[in-house]
Amino acid sequence: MKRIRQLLLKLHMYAGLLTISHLGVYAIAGLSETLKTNELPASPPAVHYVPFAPVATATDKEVADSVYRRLNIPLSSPLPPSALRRDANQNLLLEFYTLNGLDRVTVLEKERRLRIETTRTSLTSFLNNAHTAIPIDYSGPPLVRAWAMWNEFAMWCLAGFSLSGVVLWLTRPEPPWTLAVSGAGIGAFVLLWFLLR
Amino acid sequence: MYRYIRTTHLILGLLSGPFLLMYAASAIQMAHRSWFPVQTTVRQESALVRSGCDNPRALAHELMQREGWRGELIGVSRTAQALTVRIASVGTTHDVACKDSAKKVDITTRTLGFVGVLNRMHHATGIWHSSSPMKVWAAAVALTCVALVGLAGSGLWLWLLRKGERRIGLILVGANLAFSLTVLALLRMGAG
Repeated sequence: MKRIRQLLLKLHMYAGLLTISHLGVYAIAGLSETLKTNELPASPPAVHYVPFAPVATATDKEVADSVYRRLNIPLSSPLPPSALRRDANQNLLLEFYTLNGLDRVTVLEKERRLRIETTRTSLTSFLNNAHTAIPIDYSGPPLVRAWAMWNEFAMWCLAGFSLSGVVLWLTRPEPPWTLAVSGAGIGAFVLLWFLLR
Repeated sequence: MYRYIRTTHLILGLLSGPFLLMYAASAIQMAHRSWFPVQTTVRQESALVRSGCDNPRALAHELMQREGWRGELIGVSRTAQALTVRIASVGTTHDVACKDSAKKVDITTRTLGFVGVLNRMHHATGIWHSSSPMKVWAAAVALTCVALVGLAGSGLWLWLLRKGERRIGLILVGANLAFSLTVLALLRMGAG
């Protein structure tokens, strides 16, 4: 039993040490989302134009892919057909979301150019976006995929050291007040669950 | 010193444990949606209301009071066919549609199962909400974040006090920091 406990303690410690930077990212993401107000003052996007003439016979998806290749927006991925839409003037509207913000591209066919509105996120929003990255959502750039995989590993570690922490607490004689502290944590969570669901 | 730090680590862990487990479980659910599908129950009914459809906020208030609905008014939308008022808590959404009669409304209620509520709790943030439970939840989220920093700091300290674990721990922390900081810096610069 003692040996198993020692092993569990090592796993608890190593899982925490391996994800130390993620814990910081998660904490910043959570705090920034909590303190964010509903109506954020959006910083004005930077607008620029790029010459672009789509092939007359191309479908919207083919145009979107062509724009993606033409602009080569860092960290972006090709848009799926479900993300393609048109604005009030029937111009094709393409929104490339990345960890760093949004590039909204309007294909101005008659003017034979692209209007590109770039909104760059703050550092805290960037970290918030980074904390949401998971492999199934990122089939694009290898660096984003690498981060997403590392992020998923950190999720499992979070579950691992949380559960192992409970087992370590339960398998060692601790003062009775720790039961009260644990009860307070569980009680608060259960109460909020019922109030929120 | 060791005892003081360990007690702090234990208290922070016990208080924030249920919240951290919720975040871990819901994050894993989101990463593997096919393993843990979100179940939704839909119920449709009609009701008579005193407030007219011309005042959506009064309508929402009346229904929340009368039916005991939790949550808050999160949206009013109008189409050619109907005016729809959406009242939602983390796990339940009520869409109230006023169509032909101004005093009769159609209500569609969607209730999420356990996995769905877990998922929505992960996304529920912000002190700007009008509902009191949401404000309390936001405060709990903020405290959990602070506890997470405290857990990381006290955990690092406890590790440093264990001489036998310093070498391997240093490798793990070094690998994590080197990889994470480099990748985050490159991502922020738009490389990749």
